[in-house]
Amino acid sequence: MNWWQIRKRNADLERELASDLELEEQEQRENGIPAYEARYAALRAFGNHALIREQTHETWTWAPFERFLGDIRYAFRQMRKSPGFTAVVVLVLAMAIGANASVFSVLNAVVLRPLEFQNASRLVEITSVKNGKPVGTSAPDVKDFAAQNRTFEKMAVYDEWRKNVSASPGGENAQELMVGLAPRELFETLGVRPLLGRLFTAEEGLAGRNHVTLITESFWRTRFQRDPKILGRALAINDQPYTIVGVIPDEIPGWINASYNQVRGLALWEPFLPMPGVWSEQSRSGRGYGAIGLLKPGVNIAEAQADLARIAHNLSVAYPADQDIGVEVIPLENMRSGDLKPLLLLLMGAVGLILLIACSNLAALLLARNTARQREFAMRKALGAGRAALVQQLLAEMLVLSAVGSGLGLALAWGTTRALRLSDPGQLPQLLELTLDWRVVVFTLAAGLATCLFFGMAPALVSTRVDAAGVLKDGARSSSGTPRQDFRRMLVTAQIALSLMLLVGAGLLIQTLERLEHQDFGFRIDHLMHGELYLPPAQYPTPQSINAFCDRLTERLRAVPGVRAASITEIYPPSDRWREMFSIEGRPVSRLQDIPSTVFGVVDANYLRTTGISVVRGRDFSESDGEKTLPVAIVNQAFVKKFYPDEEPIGRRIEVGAPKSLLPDDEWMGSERVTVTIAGVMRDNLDQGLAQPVAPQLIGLFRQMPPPVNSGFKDLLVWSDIAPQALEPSIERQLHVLDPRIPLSDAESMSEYLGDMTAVQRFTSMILSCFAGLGLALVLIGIYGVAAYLVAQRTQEIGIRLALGAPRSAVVWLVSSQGLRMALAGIAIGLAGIVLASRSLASLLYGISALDPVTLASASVALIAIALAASALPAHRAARIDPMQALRSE
Amino acid sequence: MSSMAKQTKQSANLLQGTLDMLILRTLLYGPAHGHQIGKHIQRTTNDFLQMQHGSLYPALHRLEERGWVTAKWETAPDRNREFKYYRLTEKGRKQLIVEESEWKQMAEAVARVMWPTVEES
Repeated sequence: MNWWQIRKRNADLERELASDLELEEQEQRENGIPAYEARYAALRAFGNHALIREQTHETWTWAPFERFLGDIRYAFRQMRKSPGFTAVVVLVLAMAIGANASVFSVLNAVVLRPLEFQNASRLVEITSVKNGKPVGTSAPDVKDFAAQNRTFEKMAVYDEWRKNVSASPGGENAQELMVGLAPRELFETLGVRPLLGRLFTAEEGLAGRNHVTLITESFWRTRFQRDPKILGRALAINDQPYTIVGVIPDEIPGWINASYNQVRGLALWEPFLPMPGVWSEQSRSGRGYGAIGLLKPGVNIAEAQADLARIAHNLSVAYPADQDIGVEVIPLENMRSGDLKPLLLLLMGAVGLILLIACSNLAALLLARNTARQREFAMRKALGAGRAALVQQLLAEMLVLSAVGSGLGLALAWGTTRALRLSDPGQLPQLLELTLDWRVVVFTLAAGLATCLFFGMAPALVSTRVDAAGVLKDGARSSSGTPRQDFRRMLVTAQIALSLMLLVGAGLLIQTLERLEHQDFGFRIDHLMHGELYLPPAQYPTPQSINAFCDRLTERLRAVPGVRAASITEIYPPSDRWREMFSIEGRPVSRLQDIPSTVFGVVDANYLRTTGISVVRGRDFSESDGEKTLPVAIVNQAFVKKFYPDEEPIGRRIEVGAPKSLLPDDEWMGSERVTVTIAGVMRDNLDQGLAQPVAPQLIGLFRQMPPPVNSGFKDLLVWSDIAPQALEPSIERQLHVLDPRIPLSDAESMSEYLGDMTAVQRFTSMILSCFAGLGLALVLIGIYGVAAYLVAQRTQEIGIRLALGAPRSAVVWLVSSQGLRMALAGIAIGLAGIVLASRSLASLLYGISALDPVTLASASVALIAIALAASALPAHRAARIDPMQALRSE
Repeated sequence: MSSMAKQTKQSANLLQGTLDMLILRTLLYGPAHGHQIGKHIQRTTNDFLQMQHGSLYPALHRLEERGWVTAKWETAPDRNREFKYYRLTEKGRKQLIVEESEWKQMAEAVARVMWPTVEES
């Protein structure tokens, strides 16, 4: 018999009883009882109909379930009877659970959900490391890794380049897109199969054979309307015709290459041939490529790491270029979370604290309410209900509340995640994959159920310990249990401790953000616009052609109304990953690890004026520094401090590029070297990102540099009188007058750009502040509840005190000192918690210590203020108690 | 609700085994509905055992739950309407044998205590 047949079974029993009753009636009639009395006689003989039904039900195996249904029905009735209490409980639960489900869904999208590749758990990212920092791999290194390893099934190197892509073979309406460069093995490693056509062949990785492309499904849909006859058609990449040989699904996400961490995935791919000699021995030091590997089944990360480390060690012995270069194997899943992971774990911890605070608050609320229901419980007990039955019924009530609360919470989470995905809070590409899947639903329901059991059980157990006779005789008041109040005070103290931790965390993160955004950048932010362009080598094959184009563009830009200065450069603040080794004249080095290096970049003569970086010594670049004149450089103050601490830097000569005797192939310069003379010193400006100290920097003029450095990749900086956004169309127009096939891409103002850089911190501090506010509100409710209860319980006592002459201020103190004591205890516990958490917190902070005394002190003061504010109303009420009235009601 | 359950459980415990056995024994004659079973026991004992409906129906349903009897709505041969007929199952037949022998042992044991002289003579 199954429980869902309960109705059928009920009807069956009713029918059986009715039919037998009828037989009985008939029998009575046959025994000579008059017809009109026969029915009553039959009923009398039958006994209590309801009782029979009840007792029969008990024999059915699902009787406990039926009782439980009764409890649920009763719980709903209770909820309707006290809508205020129900609303508070459901709302608090919905908010806490909704917040948890939202944060969990982000965590799920970024960290927990398995990657969509087949064999996702065996995919790893391989990168070379130098001084503990990942620097990407070089093609010859990956070739050796692939040939000599014992732990990998497949391995592939790949890259991503900014290129001008046009859907037509002529190159009209080009758009700058990220193009992936990958051999066939990359797709095989990832398990990506073409929807149409084929993958690249091995020969297509050779120069001259490589003009073929694989497009992604979304590119196929947006540019070619899913044309089924797409194979064999041509499109233009950097004005070169490429034949489409296949369409692959949109499975390769943008985060897969950590150094770009793009919002969207790549649009199309071409064979891996970033430069003609990429596989030759000279390219061994040319790092910066990505590499993906598929582990053999059963191999773990540590084994693969040890295997590749062995090969890397052999390489470092065999090749000077590989000296001091290690290797790191990272699970591909870890790449997805990137730098979001620690912040997300912080948020998850914070939102967990919110749930704890909310739940302890609910427990306190339930306790207070159950205390008010003492008479009801006593009555039930007197009628024979066991304690287990009472507890079961209270838990049923809690279950109904938590089910309603979780449901609402889930709806709330659905709304938040949708809003988050649509609003796109900055550069968080992982949030594009944000959805509520079954994991989130299971998590929410589990959280709701755990809440119900954990925080419903204690109040239920405490408050069902009723002395029935005592309560019914004297009224609810005499059952004031001090242990019960102690329990509530403990809960509130815990809430205060948790809120303090949240408040301090939010405070520290806000100050971190403040410091990141309002530090001395050393360069201009207002009215500065940035954009990117790419001059393809087909049209601009020589440095001369590039220089000529840049000169003409600068001239045209300067003439645009509103433009105060414009610069064409290859770097822009606040960070660039370009580092260059160099030799100082007169200070030769004999070992590779002794070669000095600096943040490097090449610019034009207008760079410093446009970015607002001032020259503190010597002179700025000038228009007269040209291809034929002496190559000059400008260094920053950090450079002078490090390399010329006690000398005059102006006029000193520096050879840019690794010393040829030690390393003939420089990563950027190749076999070229340029000797520059320091002409000036610029003020320090951020050159390693917002959260890093200024490193030594040296900048030169691209027109004075050899071809590998003076490349077609150029950045545009424009300083204007008018809003940068308004300037963009006219700049693009000037660019297209010169060459209509070159797109202006990534145009944005410097403040937008910096805003994107702090998006993660802003996102986190915003959410953490909301949590802290929520926590404080809950604490306020909690302290108020305890204080109000105290006043209600001790009205008579306070009346007596007042009657005996106690001043009203003493009564106020009696009430508020309780809140104060809880606050102080909670603060002490919370501070201890912060000390414990400070180590992990410190990694998320910038410019402020995790134990910043001002932050700790102000958060503590805020909580004390809240404790006093929460006690104020009950204290005021206590002080206004009329002694006569209080005593009379005794 | 639960208080009532508690009380009946206590009084039922005394009777339960016996009543179950009597019902099973009655059904050995063939299928019968609740009313017939009750009347049969009452008549056979010359009204010594007054059938309480309050115990009869729970007992019938309990036996059904345990699989000792099955129930089915069938038309009575002499009347033109349906009754819920209970029927002994194979399992119930075995249970009857077990209970009968237990009852016998019990009755003999009680008899030895109550009338020891009878035994000796």
